[in-house]
Amino acid sequence: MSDMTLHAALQQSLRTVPDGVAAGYLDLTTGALLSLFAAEQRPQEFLNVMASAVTELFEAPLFKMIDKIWSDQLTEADLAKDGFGEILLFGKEYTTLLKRCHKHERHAVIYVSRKETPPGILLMEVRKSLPKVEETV
Amino acid sequence: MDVNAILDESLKAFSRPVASKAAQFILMLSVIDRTILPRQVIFSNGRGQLKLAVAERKARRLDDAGQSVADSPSDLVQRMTRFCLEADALKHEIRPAKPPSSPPGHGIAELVNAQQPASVTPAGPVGEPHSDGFRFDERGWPLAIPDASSAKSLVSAWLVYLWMQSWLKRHDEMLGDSVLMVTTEGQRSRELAFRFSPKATQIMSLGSAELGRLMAAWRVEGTPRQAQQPNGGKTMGMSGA
Repeated sequence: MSDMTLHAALQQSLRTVPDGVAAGYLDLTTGALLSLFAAEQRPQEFLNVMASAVTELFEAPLFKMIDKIWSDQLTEADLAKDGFGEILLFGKEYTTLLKRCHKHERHAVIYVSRKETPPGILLMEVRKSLPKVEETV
Repeated sequence: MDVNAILDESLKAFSRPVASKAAQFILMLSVIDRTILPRQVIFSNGRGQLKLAVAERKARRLDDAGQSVADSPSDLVQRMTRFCLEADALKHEIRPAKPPSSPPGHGIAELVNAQQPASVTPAGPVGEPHSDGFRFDERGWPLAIPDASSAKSLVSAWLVYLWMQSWLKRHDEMLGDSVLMVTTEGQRSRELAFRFSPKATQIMSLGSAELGRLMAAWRVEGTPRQAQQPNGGKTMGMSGA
């Protein structure tokens, strides 16, 4: 485990994202936001909604069906498996990247950047910094 | 439980009023796509019947005398659409039939993609011209599917659409409601993309080379919404650094 705190690791990783706005770390089992670094303070209500929205997106069985649309074989076991590794949401003002952690599959990170940030760079920077963030947990 | 049973149960669960007409249409397509051996399929909608001769996953309409009618795909799908829109509760019966003497008819992708916008939505055209992937209108009605799609794929896409609509309605103020893209990683090299908008939803599978083109085409337009003070209103959008 790293000496750095999770909050500090998120802060450091967000600096590498051009126009990064917020970075958070989430426990998908409980839906709890374990840590968040944001460029400016957000009301707790917002953070709670974001955490529950992301948890739902990663965990919903019907949403996982999307991965089976182009698969030839669909089994009940497939539906029970974990869903996506990465989800990018393009909003009107912001781009949000949700990424399932590698070391802890039941954890995920959330990065929010302004929509001007190239999504490829956002994805690349988050992939690069994830191991360091995970080390602190 | 086999896969068809899972999908059937999901179809029942989602046959709620807002989506029930689309559910009935998808159910008709599903019955056609699962029928390999020659069968006569009789759909009842509470007002009348629609008889189809189905074999090899393709359907032809039968007239009242039981004779095969050479409808074009657009004619047949228009009848199916009208039949579903009038339906109170769709039922079907499958009877053995002799092998068809005429050509086998039309598959589900051919039927879905032959729809004329006016026959789907009386108010006029919906969404964009035909393009790749699955496309649904705001009611969940399938407007386009990839060629050679199975009913299983269509049902999966439709269930995702319904779930996603529900999710976005609850969270669009936070995330924006226009475009969503999903990527998978690891052993699965496929990348999936969604576009959600008030009028139409599109779900696609892409290669990475297509991603840039798609993102440029789907770029979110519009005036950024004004963020409000934390306690000043319902908008929850982040106002940025």
